[in-house]
Amino acid sequence: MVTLNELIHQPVRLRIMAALVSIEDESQLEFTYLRDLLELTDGNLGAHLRKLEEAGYVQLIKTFVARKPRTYVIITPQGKRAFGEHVAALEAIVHAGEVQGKGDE
Amino acid sequence: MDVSQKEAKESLQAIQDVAAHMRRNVARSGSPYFMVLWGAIWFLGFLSSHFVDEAYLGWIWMPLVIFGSIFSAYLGYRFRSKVRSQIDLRFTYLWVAIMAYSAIWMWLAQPSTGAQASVLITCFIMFAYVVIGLWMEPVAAWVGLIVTAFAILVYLLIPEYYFLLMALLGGGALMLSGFYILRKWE
Repeated sequence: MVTLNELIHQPVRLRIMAALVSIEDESQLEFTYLRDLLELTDGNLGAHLRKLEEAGYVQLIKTFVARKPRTYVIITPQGKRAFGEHVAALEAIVHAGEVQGKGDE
Repeated sequence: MDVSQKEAKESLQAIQDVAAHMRRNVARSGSPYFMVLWGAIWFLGFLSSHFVDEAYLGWIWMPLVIFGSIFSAYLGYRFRSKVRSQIDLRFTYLWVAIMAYSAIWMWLAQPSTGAQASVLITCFIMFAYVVIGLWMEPVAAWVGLIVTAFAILVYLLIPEYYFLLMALLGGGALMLSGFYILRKWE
């Protein structure tokens, strides 16, 4: 049975992971793009990304584009798997609730 | 960790909302802008081709194609810097392949008129739209199929109006489809 992932369940991290999972495999999102998409501050996004990076769910790639520093974020296979399991656990809760609701009728 | 059914539903909805927003953003960054740009170039190029002597077609199309290529490169660079995607590479390879095969077929077929060359190139470009449509947005595939059929029919049935109709319906269809996709993804 799949279980909820506490690290991913936090609302901001959940949305970060959702954004990263929804794009094509091996695609990378720029830090500022993700920040604007999720309407976060640099510090807030950075703190959540660090936690996800420590868990091995995302990887931060620092590079230079036109001599300006850029940070790209990519989801790891481990992160993808963990997110998939978390979504499956959420769906199981919703499904269980619906079954129980029908039983009560 | 206890999560209620309501909270689980809200989390799943949040995931769906972000994923949908994300897909729209990534998709919007590409093809529709190119469709509007090349639709405008087709419109100007074909419209001019209808009114000037065939000997001068090269002088009309060359600057338009150079401008379109430079502007396309700019658009590609501008949008690619935010999302580095494998699909960008596939687009680039697709267009390189289309250009290479167009050149090979032009060399093999040796078209004798501007309209012949144009219908051949149009078919190749529209083939790329069909492929892009299959990857991303069905509207692009339909545009590719309809413009190809239209170009061949006009070329065969009313060749004297080929350039004029391609300007209005070929270039027009590309521009309108680009605007439609942009609006749809808003």
